[in-house]
Amino acid sequence: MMEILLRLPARTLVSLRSVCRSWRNLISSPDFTRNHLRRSCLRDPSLITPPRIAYCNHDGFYGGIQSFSMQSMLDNPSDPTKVASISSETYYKIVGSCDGLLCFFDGFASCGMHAILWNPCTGFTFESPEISGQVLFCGFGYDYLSDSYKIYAATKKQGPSGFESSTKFYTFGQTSSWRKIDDIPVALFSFPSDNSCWTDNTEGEFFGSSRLCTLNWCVNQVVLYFDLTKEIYGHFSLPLGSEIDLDHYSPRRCTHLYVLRNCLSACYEHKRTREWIVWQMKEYGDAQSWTKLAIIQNCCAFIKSKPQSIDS
Amino acid sequence: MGSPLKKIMLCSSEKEIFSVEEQVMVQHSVIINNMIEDGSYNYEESKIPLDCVDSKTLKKVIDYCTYHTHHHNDNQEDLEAWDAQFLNVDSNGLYDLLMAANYLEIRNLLDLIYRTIKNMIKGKKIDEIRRILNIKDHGFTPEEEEQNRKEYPHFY
Repeated sequence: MMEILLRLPARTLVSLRSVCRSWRNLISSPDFTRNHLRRSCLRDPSLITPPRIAYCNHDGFYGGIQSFSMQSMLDNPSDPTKVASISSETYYKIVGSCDGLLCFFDGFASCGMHAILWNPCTGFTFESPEISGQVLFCGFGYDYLSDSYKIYAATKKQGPSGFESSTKFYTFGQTSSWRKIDDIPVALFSFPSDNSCWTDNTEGEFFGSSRLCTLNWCVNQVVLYFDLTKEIYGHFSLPLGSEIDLDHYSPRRCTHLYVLRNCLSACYEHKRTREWIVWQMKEYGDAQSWTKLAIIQNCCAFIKSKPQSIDS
Repeated sequence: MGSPLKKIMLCSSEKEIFSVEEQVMVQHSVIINNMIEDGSYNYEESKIPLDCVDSKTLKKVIDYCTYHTHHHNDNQEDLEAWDAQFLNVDSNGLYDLLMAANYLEIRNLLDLIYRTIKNMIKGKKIDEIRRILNIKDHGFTPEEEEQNRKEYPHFY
């Protein structure tokens, strides 16, 4: 049956979900989505191009997530066409995206959350089992080597003897559950002991290649990474060129990581000149390969919440 | 590849024996090809038992493989017309063929059946699809079914 359904366009699949329960389960599964995407892209490479942006719209306490195409925003900046939104009486936190799928948490730390994988085009969602605790670090990515979508969450919870931290890992799939893994090796980075905010981006940036798939966070002066396949941590340094005056450059407060043109990139604001400086790591993991890519002048610099681009 | 003159015996679920040119089956069926190649088929004694394929379906499968072996140089349009005629069967017949092609791993026949079923589904309303594929138990609770119908009335 899968072979047949894979041949149908995504919009048809939306209606086919209601034919019977077994089709619904099949079509909604992440495996199916991935296979379908791969097939569709092989047939029509133009499907890979249209980028979209998603953002959390927290109106007071509750919010929703909206997603619209970049093209519509460029064509009509004042009122981009909203192509999709998801909302209910809950709180959302976007974790990341790949293959056009958006991954986010819904619910509250105190009473349990779920990780949700959402396809804004079809409206399909896939929900993980519950996880609780306050999320300190998280990240979402696709592991090429095991061919699966994975989400990482380092959480803390009030226990009888103070805060207890725990790190969990989930592979999206019908029978999968959250699995406890090693915590971030705190000693390595001399973090504040209370694990309070020591990074701007709690959501890790996904870097994926057929050789290596990692989630990356900017912590203190280094990039901390988590290997999605081997489930191990590592780190390398940020670009610290000699021309940067350390007094004017505070990576702790404003360094953001992105993947641009398949390279990990770091972007920060120069405190004195107010310029944004973009560095690109030509060879992933090799700190010698940081190259200054661009300097962006005079931008209004305060990024409060990072919108998520939906890569496809 | 076997010699074109050699014949092999296939045995249907009704124990009816079909004698087929070896090359015809070797070219199309992955599992028969493997059997011949690894030497597990004995030309004097062996009959390949196909317990899950009835005579009517097996005959059709052999027709398909024979035609495509001897007409593979025909132009695409003629082959497609022949395929369309070949698959002009009811949904039960199509299901039996799908199972047989799957069992024998006849990839081009499988592909043809997948495409045919896809075209049967595409653009159809849900009630029609259920009728065409003979889906009696959709597995939704009455409440879910009602909810679906309310949410997407145009699909039904």
